[in-house]
Amino acid sequence: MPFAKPVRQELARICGKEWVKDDAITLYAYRSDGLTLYTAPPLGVVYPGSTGELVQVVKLFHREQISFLPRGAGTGLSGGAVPCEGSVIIEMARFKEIHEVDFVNRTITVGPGVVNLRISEHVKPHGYHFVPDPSSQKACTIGGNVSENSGGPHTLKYGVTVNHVLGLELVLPDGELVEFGGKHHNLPGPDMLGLLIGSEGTFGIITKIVCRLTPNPEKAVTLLGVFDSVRGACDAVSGIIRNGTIPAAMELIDKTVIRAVEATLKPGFPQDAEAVLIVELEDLEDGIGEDAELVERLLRENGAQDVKRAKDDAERTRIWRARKESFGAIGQLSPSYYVQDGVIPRSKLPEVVDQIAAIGQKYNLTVANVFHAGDGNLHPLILFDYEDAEQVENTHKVGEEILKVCIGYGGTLSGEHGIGLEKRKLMGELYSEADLENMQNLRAFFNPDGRLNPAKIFPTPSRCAETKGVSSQIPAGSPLVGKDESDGLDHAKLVAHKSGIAV
Amino acid sequence: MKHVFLPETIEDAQAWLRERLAAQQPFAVRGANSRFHPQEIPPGPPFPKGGDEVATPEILSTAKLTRTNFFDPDDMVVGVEAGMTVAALQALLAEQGMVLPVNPWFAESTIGAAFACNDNGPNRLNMGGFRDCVIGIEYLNGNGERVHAGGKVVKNVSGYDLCRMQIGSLGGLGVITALNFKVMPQPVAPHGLYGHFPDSTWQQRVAELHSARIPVDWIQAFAPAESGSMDWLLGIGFSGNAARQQRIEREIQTIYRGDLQLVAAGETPLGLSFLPGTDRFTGWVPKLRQLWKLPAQHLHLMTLLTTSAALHPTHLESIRSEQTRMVVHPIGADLHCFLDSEDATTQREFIASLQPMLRQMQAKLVLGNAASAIGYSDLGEFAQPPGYALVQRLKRHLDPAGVFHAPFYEQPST
Repeated sequence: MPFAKPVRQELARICGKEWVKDDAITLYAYRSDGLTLYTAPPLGVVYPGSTGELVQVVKLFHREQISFLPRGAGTGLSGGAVPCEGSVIIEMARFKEIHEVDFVNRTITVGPGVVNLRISEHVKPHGYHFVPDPSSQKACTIGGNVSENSGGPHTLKYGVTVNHVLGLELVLPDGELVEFGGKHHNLPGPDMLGLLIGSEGTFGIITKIVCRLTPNPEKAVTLLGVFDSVRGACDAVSGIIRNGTIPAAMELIDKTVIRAVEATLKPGFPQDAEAVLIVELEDLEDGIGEDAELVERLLRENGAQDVKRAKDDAERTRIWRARKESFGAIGQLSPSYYVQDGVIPRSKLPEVVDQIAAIGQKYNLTVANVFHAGDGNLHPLILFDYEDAEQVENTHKVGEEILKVCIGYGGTLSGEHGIGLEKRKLMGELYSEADLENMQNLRAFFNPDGRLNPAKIFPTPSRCAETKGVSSQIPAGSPLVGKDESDGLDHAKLVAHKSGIAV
Repeated sequence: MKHVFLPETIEDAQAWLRERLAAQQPFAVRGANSRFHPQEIPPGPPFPKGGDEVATPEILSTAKLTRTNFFDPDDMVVGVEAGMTVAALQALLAEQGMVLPVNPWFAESTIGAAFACNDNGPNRLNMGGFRDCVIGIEYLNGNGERVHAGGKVVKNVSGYDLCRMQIGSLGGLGVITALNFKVMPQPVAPHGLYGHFPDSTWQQRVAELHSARIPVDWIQAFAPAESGSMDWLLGIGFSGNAARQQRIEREIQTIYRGDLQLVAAGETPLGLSFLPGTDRFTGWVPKLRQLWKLPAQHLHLMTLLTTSAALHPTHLESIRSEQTRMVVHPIGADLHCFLDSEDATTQREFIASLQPMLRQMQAKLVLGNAASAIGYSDLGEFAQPPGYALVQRLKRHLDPAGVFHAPFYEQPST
């Protein structure tokens, strides 16, 4: 059902007619984020071009009791930007202004629609970068990063998004515009930024972000430890950290992923290895060689058969490209995959990776591993065929069992992708009822009517379609049903191929 | 008169809280009584037995909640009850060569109080603060429930971040009963360079150092360095292997034209023990108070600044006077002003005299110590962060019975 006529007219008056869309193709395109296991069509999509327009749009939805949610680039992997309950999507792509760069305070103030990598590119000539570097950084927006508290490989040493944001401006669900923080590193009172960052778009819509800038390292040394078992590589992770060395990044890639990236990106990983461990050190040029020698020794002492060192920036770039594009490379091996995001205590990695392999075997599905080993942040990739309903069903079971293993080892459901729709039903496994009610009380404060991004994070029923097992169905109520479907597209495959992730 | 309650278990604290909720009886949350709180009891010795008589309101002290819940050196994470002192926690970590990389003001503070006051200091920019290391929390909420958030792992986005919400909450959003942190290896061979400067020209060199992106651990300047003189003493700390340290020392000495002298942090050469050594992780304020022989009710104002304001060539000089002692952490940044007077009127006049400059610097204020008559009304708009009105509403929402007595939330919104 499209916008009611008066609502559409009012939105067009605020934003301009071309920035209000509820045609069938638009609604189809916005029915999921990067995790296409969960879909629901929006009521419509609005593209405000300024904070003033956004405030008016939100006030309109508040008055008309229409639910809504913000969306960045739609690269999220937990269904956080799926428009449940007939919500309107407020697309933030037009908020892509870089407002101010301040090198003395080491800040850059940006709109939420700025692409993550663009921030670092903007300040690179001056010797700075923005630390959080999720694998999707070429596409994901900083607004989405703040909403999900995103991480990335280099957060081992430097921290995640919450550690690199100093100020926020946001619009609350009733249209009130508020600001927190600024360029100060500390302010009196409770850390509201800490609360807001990672709230998955359920507290407010971010309109401006003050990001911290970090000096580029003078020197980076990238080592590649080659192992004959995943368990051995995991042991080496603990060995390095326990020694007191904190590399900038420690990333583990198993043989399945090695095979996929060698078939596409050819980073030069040994194809007979069971696992490789990328260890990157960053610091001043003076002294880093000594640290690198120590890490190399620790890798060998902990079972590495070989340790290679990137000899130049080109080789280092090749290694990192392979790591960051490894999810996409899996397409070489499987029509679809489903990525998980559990976290465990780092020292439990060897036991847990064995259990993950066993779970995959139980359901006859391959589970590949590429993850932030230094943080204990797992990204098991469950390979499946989206045309096979049984495999889809088993994929869900494998994912759920893996997360339960993580919880059993004192870990958690998500390290950087968020809960969204995907993991909300498992929140009760992690937290007590009182803990969850306490969190929901916070949502009731910021979002009392629940109209901002409904049905996310908490295990409450929703009207979102879960396309488990029947991936090709267009959800009941979709604007495509009963309308012109003669576009010749196979909609299910379109989603699968576009996202490259999962159906 | 009211009393101090010192529960030995969290269950006892919860039962006591529920009684106050039923009676709608406000109380203040305290740790070991080491911190000043405006218009309340002055800081003093810890509450040893409980039952001590204090002025209104009642006090719940977490000082006897001192258990270690877990310490996993291989994962570099620790979880303790909120009443463990900063000194005890750092000693526990030091046994495994680790440290919680924050800068509490007092060693005898409980970790819960340091967290609820968001203590920070010389390391804030380069090694972080509580926001950068908290991973889990347990607290009693405004409904008397014992709630948990976060966990034992170093990366976690499962649900709302209620751990960080409690940083700096000053006892207004719940009773913090336990905290989990990720910890770090202790700095390798920490050293410091120091030098005397007749005026604040050191700022320009710090600006050069900052611009050159030299990875130092901390920077602290203070004045007067010696009683009666008006000079500044600047210290710059760094650590790492020998080659790294030699490089950093060379870079710094080039900027300072060789005017600085090297000391090993933690040593006590030539009376310079008030430079932050390893005590920056346990309590960096007492030595300064001792140096300047400040009376019990002296004024200690922490001014929260941007780095650009702290490095501005005229700001510090315009604040400086014969009565004022100052400590600056210029990158980050904060400026601590100490006034050698216990007279409330003198303290009020001093605060008022700062206001034009504070407004120009967009600074905020925190009271570290003061005469008992000094309160938030004397700080005005400078005690209120951006979004303060919403923070007040949040307090009312999370504490509907109004039992968590915390004057910070009761200021007239400006």
